[in-house]
Amino acid sequence: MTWRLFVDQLITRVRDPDDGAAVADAIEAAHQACSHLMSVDAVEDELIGSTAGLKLTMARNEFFRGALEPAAPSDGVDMPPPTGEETPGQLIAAVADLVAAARDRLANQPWGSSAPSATLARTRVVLHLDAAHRALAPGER
Amino acid sequence: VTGPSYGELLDEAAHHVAEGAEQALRRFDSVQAARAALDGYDELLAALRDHVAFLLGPRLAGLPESSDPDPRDAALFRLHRALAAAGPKPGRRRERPGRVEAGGWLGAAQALRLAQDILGTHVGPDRQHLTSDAPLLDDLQARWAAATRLAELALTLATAAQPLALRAGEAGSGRRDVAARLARSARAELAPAAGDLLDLAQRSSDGWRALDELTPAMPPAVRASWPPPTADPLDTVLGHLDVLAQAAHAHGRGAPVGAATLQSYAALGSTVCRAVAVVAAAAAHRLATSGEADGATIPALREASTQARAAATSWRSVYQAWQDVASSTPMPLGAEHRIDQVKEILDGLTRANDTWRPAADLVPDRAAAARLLTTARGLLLPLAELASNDAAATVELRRRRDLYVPRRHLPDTARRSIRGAWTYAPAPPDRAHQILAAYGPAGLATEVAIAALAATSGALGTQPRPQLVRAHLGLTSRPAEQLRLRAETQAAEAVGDHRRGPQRHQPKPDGPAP
Repeated sequence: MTWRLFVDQLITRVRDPDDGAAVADAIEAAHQACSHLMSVDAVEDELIGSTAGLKLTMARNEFFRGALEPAAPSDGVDMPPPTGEETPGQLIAAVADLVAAARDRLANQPWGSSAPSATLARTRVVLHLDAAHRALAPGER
Repeated sequence: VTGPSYGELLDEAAHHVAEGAEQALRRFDSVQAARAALDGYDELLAALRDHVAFLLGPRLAGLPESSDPDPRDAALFRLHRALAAAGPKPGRRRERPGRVEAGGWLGAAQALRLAQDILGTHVGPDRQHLTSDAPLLDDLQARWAAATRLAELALTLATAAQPLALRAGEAGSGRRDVAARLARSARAELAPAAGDLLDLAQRSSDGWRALDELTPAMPPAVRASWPPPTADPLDTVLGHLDVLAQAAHAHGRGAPVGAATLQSYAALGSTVCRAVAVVAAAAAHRLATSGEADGATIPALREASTQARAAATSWRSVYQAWQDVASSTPMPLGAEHRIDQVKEILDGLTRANDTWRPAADLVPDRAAAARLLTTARGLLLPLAELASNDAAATVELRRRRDLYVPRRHLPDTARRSIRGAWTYAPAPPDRAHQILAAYGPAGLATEVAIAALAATSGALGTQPRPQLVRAHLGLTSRPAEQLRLRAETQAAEAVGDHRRGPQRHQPKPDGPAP
C-alpha cells in the first residue's frame, strides 16, 4: 500500500468527529513515518525525518501523558514502510497532510476534559503538531 | 468581599493562554495585531515572573546561596530565573492596561496579576500575616500547588514562542529583537525549567514518600540544571547536554527511565553527531579554500567528519531499534524540551532555511574553526557515556520486565498465549537484544569520532576544555576510561589555554575525586 493511500484513509478517519481514536492513531502513524523517512537515503540527511520526528514525539508524549486520553480505545496503527513507488517528496507530503489533519482536528474539535490543565496540554499538542508540519512542509503556510 | 477566586483567575489565565497560542498558528491580519500579540506575550512573561516571585516571597533572595534548598523551591526559583531571562527587562515593561481589552496573552497577564493581587491582600508589605488564611502563603504544599499551575502556563507559553516569532516576522512587525528573544531565549531556559517543575510535581503527587525517594537522585541534577544564563547558544547546548548526561548517569544506575526517553536520547545522539560532522566538513572546506591549514590538517578534518557521520548513523540505528517499544515510565518533560532545544540550536547553527549553511558562513576563519571544533568535541564527550548508560538502563528495563511491544507485532503463537485484550504485550527477548546490540556500535563510533576530532586539535591549536573533561570524569564508570580522561585533563591543564577566557563551568566542589 502506498503512503498516500494509507494516509488518505487515516485522514478520512481524523475528519470523522465520531472516530475518537483517529487523532491518536494519526500521531502514532506520523511518528512511525518519520522513523521510516530517516532510512530513506534521498530524504536530505534524515533531518526532515528527525526534526519532525522529535516534534511528533513531544506531541505523542503530551497526548498520552494523561490529560488527553483518546475518546475511544485503539488497536494501534502500523505505518507501512515505503514501497519505493513514491518519491521522497511524495512521502513527505503525505505525512505533512496527515499531521496537518490531526492538528486541525485537535484545534477545532476539542474533546476530553475541559479542565485548564487539559486545555493547556491540548494546546501544546497542537503547537507541537504545527511545528512538525512546518518541518515537513516549510513555507506551505 | 466577593469576586472570582484565585483558582478561577488561574483558570481564566489558562483559557487565555490557549487562545493566544492558537492565534500563533495563523497569520496576523495586520502589523498592529502582530505588535499587540508581542506586547501581550511580554506582559504575560512579566506577570508570570512577578507571580512566581510573589510565591517565593523572601526565599527568593536567599535561594541562590542556599546549599541545600528544598527541591520544589529550587525548581520554582529556576522557573523565576528563566522567566526573568526570557521576558523584557523590568525597567522597560510598558504600562499595565487599565482594563481587559483583549483575550489571548494580554487577558492571561491581567488574570494573573489579579490573582496575585488576591494573594497580596492577605499579607502586608513585609509579608506579615493580615488574615487567618495568610499562613497558607508560607505553606510549601499550598505554594507548590499554585506553582505547578503557573508552570503549566509557562510551558505552553514557551512552546508558543517560536510560532509567535515566525508569525510576527511574517507580518513585518519590525520587532526583530523581541521576536528573536522569544524564539531563542524564551525557549532555551523557560521550557526546560517549567518541564522540570512539572516532572517534579508529577513525582511528588504520591505525597511525602515519593519526594523522599526523589532526594538522593535529584541533588546533582538540580544543581547541574542551574548553569548561569549564557549568551552563546552553543554554551546553552553544552549546559543542556551536561544535565542530560547526568540524568543518563542516574538512570544507568537504576533511576526510573522509559523507552520514549531512551529513544529520544538516541535521536539526540544522531543530531549532535550530524552537527559535528557538518562543522568538521565545513572547517575542512573553508581552510582548504583559504589556504590557512597545512597538508595534514585537511585530511584529519575530513576524517573527523566521516567518523562523526558514521556515529550519527549508528545512533540512528539505536533510534530505530527503539521504534514501537514502550515502557511504563513516561518521558520527563524537562528532558524532552532540553533535547528539542539542543536540536533546534544545532540545526540553527548548521542550516539556513532548508539548506546547509555555506562553509564560509559557518566557519568564517581559522579561529572560528578552532572554537567550533573544541565545542564539537565537548558535545561528543557526553554522548560516549550516554551509550553505556543507556545500554545499562535498557538492561534494567529488561530485568524489570518493563519493555513492551504492540501485541499485534508478536507472532500468532505468542499472541494467542496472552490472555486479555491488552494492546501491548511483553517484548520478546530478541527485541531487547536487538536494542542492546545497537548501543555497542553507537558508543564505539562516538569514541572514534572523539579521537578523530582530537587528532585535528594539534594542527588547529585547539585544546579540549578541561572543565568539560573533568565533568565527564565524574560521570564515567570505567576505570580505563577514567585513567585516559585524567591524563587528558592533566595534559590540557599543563598546556593551559590563554585563548579561552574565564571558565564558565567551574568544577563542582563536591564532585568525585578524579
